Amino acid sequence: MKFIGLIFAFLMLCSFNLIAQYSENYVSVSSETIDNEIYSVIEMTRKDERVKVKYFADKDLAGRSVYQRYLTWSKNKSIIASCSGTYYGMDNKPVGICIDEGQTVNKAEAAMDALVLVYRTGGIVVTDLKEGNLTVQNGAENLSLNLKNPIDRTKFFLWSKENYATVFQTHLLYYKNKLRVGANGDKELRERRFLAVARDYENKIRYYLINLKGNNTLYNATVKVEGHLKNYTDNIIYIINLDTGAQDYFEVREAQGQVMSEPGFKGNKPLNVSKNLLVFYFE
Amino acid sequence: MSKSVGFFSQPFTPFVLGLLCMGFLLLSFLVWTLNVTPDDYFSDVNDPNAAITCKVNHASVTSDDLENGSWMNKVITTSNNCSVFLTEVQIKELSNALVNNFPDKKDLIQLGLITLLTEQTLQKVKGNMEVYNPDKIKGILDWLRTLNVVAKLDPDNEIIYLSVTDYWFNFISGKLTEYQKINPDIRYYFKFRYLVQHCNEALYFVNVEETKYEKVKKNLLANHWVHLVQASWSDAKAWQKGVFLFVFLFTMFTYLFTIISFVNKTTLK
Repeated sequence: MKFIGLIFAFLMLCSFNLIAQYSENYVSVSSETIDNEIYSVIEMTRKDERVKVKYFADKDLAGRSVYQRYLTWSKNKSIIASCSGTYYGMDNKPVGICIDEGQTVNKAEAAMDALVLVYRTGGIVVTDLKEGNLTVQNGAENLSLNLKNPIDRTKFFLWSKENYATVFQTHLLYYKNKLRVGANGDKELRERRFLAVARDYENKIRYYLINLKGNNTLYNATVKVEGHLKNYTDNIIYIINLDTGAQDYFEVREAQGQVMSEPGFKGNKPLNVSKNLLVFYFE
Repeated sequence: MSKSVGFFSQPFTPFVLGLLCMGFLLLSFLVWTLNVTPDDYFSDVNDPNAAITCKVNHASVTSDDLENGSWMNKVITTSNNCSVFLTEVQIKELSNALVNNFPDKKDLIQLGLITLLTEQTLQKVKGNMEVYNPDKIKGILDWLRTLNVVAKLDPDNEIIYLSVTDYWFNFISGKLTEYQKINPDIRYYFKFRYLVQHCNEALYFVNVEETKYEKVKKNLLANHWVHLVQASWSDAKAWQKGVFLFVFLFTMFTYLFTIISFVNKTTLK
């Protein structure tokens, strides 16, 4: 009897890895080579709110690094993809306004238009700081804020603390059917990575994590990706930039949980180099 | 002549030359590291204009002024030869007096005071901020420090102090980022570092840009060897890795060859 029990336990252990990490009804991964450039796309639907986003902006209050925090947090999570988020400065702090679960990391606004809010529920919202019409849920009511206004900025930081909000700033490349990056943007030729959000025919939100493996300027890459995304959706809401510079970490997992090894699905730096981390997971 | 040839034919010669090269490199690195611009210090003598705060007058403010926002111009009638940065005592008195006169317009008064102490004050000092002037910035930071303290002691007006300090810290950190882009040399000045540190402590991080060499230097001085090796290796292109491996293997081969010939010579004797 004991022997059968042992075999059963062993089989359970073996099959554990075969259990799907995420459902392919919600996530699809594809890669295409166009003009010798690899376009890798991870398409995720927010239908039923099973695909979620988590952002690690900085060390926590106990002093644990983003790397340590991620390792602890991800133990019982079905990870779809993870990558470095926004840029960081000399002090290893994210550039621009940054809040990690209500804990303020950086209050200095940078010259970048996208303010990204990652909700505890796993949703992600991007607002254009130039428009000054950020709307946040404050209890039962909505709070409308213009972060260019001093009193609204203070209210926003108080709100984020009370609501354990996670926020970061980055470049807004495409918004409301318009390219927001000029040809005079970052001219460095390098691999580029973007997060695009669109609405599908059911009016549900879809996330697209796109990695462009060739060497491109920010402008060229945005134009290419915007064009490429038309194969997937007609309704792009926005495209934001993700850091592929000093912390070029990117990892994608297959539905069964194995890390994908194709060149378009991995960054050039290891996880522990990443100073901040954007993670897509399935629940 | 024969001595010199003898030296170069000795088995320990590569080691001695290697040590000399290392010493030379280390010395150059030390000179480079210590070559920091001489520090400058904040003057003890205050700007005479900054020492006198502008007078505040709220007696002529009417209810209509509050509604249309024109009261802010009446509060500080002149900004000549005085500092437009109102003291915490003046802010408190002004706020309390106006709220007492118009108790149903507290929100409007607070909003007006914040505008007065932020955007309107900035308009008056904007000219001084066009070029990097660390003493002026330090003056503002000192002012913010007092407001920060008062914010905890005056809960009725906390939102005013918080908004004003936030606005100015955000403005100053942005300006410091701009100044060092225009003149990168100031990054090594004591005053600049002091101001940056002050902003960073308040969680308004100044985005000081670093060159690749500066990053290497910082990591070397901080003994972050693992990070240095990891970052250099992952940053290196394939041909750079190839060159490194070739040089490494070539050096190893040379040492190995030297050791073998030394051993052979010793054995033959």
